[in-house]
Amino acid sequence: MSLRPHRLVAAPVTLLALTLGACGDGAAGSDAGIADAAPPDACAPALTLANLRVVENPANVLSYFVEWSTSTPATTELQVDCGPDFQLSFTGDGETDEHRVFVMGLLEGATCQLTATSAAACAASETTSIEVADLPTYVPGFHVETGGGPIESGWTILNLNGLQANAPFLVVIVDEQGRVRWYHRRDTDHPSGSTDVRVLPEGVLIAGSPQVAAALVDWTGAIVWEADIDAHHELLPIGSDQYLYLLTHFECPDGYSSDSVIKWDQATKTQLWEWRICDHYTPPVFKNDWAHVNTIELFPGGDAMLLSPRDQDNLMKVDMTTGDLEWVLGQNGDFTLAAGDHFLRQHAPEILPSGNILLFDNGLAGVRESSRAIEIAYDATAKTAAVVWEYEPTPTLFTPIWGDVDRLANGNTLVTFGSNDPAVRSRLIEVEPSGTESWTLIFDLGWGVYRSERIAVPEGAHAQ
Amino acid sequence: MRRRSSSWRPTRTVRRRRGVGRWLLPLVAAAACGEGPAAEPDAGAQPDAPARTAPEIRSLYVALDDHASSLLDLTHGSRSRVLPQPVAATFRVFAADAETATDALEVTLVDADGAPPPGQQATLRNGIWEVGTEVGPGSSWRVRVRDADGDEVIGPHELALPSHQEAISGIWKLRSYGTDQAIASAWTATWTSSGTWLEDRPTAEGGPIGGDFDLADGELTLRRTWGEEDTNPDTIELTTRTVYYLDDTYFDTGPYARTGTGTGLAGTWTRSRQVAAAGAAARAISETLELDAEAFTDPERPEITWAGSWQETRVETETGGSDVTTTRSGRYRLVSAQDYNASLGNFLHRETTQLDGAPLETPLTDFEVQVVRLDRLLLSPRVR
Repeated sequence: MSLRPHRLVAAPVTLLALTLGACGDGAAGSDAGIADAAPPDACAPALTLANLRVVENPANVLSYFVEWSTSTPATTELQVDCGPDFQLSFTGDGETDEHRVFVMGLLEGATCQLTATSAAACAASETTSIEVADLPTYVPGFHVETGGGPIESGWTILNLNGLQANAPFLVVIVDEQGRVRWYHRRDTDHPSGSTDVRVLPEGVLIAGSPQVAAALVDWTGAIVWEADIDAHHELLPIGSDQYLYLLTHFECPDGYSSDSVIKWDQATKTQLWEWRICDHYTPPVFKNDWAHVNTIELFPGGDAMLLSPRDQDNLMKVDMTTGDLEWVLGQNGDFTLAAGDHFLRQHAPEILPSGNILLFDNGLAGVRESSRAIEIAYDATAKTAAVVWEYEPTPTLFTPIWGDVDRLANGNTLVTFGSNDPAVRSRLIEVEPSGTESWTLIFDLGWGVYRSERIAVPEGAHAQ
Repeated sequence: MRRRSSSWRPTRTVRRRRGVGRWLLPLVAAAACGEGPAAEPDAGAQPDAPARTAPEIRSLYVALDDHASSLLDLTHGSRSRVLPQPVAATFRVFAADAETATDALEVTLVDADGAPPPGQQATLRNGIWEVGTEVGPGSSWRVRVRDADGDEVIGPHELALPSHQEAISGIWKLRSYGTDQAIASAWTATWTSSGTWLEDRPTAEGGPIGGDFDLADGELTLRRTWGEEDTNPDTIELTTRTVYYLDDTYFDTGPYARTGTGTGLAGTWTRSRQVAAAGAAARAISETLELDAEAFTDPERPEITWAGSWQETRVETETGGSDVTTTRSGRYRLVSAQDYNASLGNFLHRETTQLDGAPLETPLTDFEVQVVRLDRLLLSPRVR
């Protein structure tokens, strides 16, 4: 099955007739007028509902601020009806006379009815309608193909790397049909690059482009906090408002730049701890950025971290208490690996509940020009390791510099093939354990992606 | 069919219409009254009279039609952007007032002196006010909202657009690299908004070097001071006409002017400069550098990926003398110096294989041209 995101004709928000129902006297003001008032027989105390205001979010045309007032504190409800694709309601469980709702996840071009009602004994309501604008032209479209197998529920968040000059720095969320439901344009003129995005309870964490301040933004697009920490590739939350991130380090005795891992406290904006790879590992060949670490992953318990020095084609386990490099897995490592199990220029390793390591094996130009997802089982005592699961699309895809892989709750695996070739489409492929592709998100040409993540549909947004 | 239901809990019950601030998270939150940044202007109002209150600015973004189509959040803080030239700006304002309907509000921009820009246009669209105007370097702008009673509020956060002189100011950590890419030396360059510069690197003369500079309308005049007593204007060692970036990359060592449009490095770059050392005859140099891109090498950092061939023609005119033309050509590639912090340090690794049409027995490799991604810095201090 093939579905395309639809793009409807742009239209401004139109405030239609407001309906003041129930016991109101119809005197309440509104920007858009007042319609009939029909109080029921048993209407006490008199309650009016007025001033329904619907305002497009200045930062995101797919979301709206909705507010209204009641003459006395009351419990109210907002119903949003955008047709069969989007219907939901929000019910307040406390009494107030000013009511505000932020609605997100609307579809571009949709026409929606919004009805504010009171759950008080004397019911009142106002209704208005909006026509959601088209997405900005800088937001690309997507195409979805499905294979009929199970698909992990939820939406997908990803950063977008425009391959054209001066592309905006974008983070988007798409639904199961590939329709954009949320987007954020970062306040920068730098490209997105190797930017990590993830959803936290407080909002969306966006970090990893060292020229751009790391930031947490809320769903309205407002910045919750920002920090110029020069983090590259990874900003990993570890709890208590603390993070681990990667920083390029210039002061190593070898004279070349390489990476540090920084433990950082966001609240105080201070560094708590630093670990330099050049103090613990000597590469076979020196060059600037000889390690190019692109991932930090914590082992269970949080006392050790897994690092992914891409340009060494290996993984490293580091004891975070002693700072010792416990082992190296991959090229020039401590483990025995079959020739076909070696990985090249890898990205985004994650430690599975089984203890195995799942990673995106990019491949390397001139050596193996195809990318794949692999799961590696290893024995840290015997120092043996082997690939126990692998997915490589047919025909093969070669995305040499970006990529991600996540094991999903339903056992499927979401593989991110981020293309830096303007002639090759980037793809996100959800694949079953058998290797069957159940869901594929295909990008417009000219757009890459560094990482993606399947997320729960945000509360209050539409769930299919 | 109703698909989903969600409940909210108000943070507190508010019985006045004022002081409403932030939109609560997660996504859907209602009755989020209080804790907002807006003032409580009716605190002293008479109990029997409706309070006259100023409007509120609840959400404010500005879209700049610059090379990256920036969107800046002015809701929760002031923002700054270096612009090489004026650009169109659209301020998107969610404003509200208790007594005045949204479409009757007067939404304008004001500069640091409270004056509006000429030619601004305000329209109401989808419930938000959009105010468009042209903004340029050396200015700052805030949004003012006035209601029908004349009560007004000026947004607490500004869009600050530094002048060229302000943009170049700062303390820059610089490094030089050997041909093996190892860091050879590191130093600090300090450029001030008052027009002085100082580099603490060792030189052949010993000690730090410094002087003053002037940067206006694209003309950079750099003067190196040979000691505290030096007031000789002949010590002006470099005057150059610079054209700021035309795409996302530009050269800084003796700033090149890009001719034509394009992406990345490929294309033709020109520069002209006059060089006058103390006591020496002035010379004028005009150079044209042509770069042909042939391959990407590591597009994870697009700014360092170009590789290709180059050809440079240099015409040097001695004062009162004849022109001397030199041509060189070879291959180039970009080498990342990894200096993310200052956004400096990507070098054009240039190999000269031919000089005046004759192949060199031993190709020459140099790092003399530094490539800088656009950051807040318009020009790198390394102009010599």
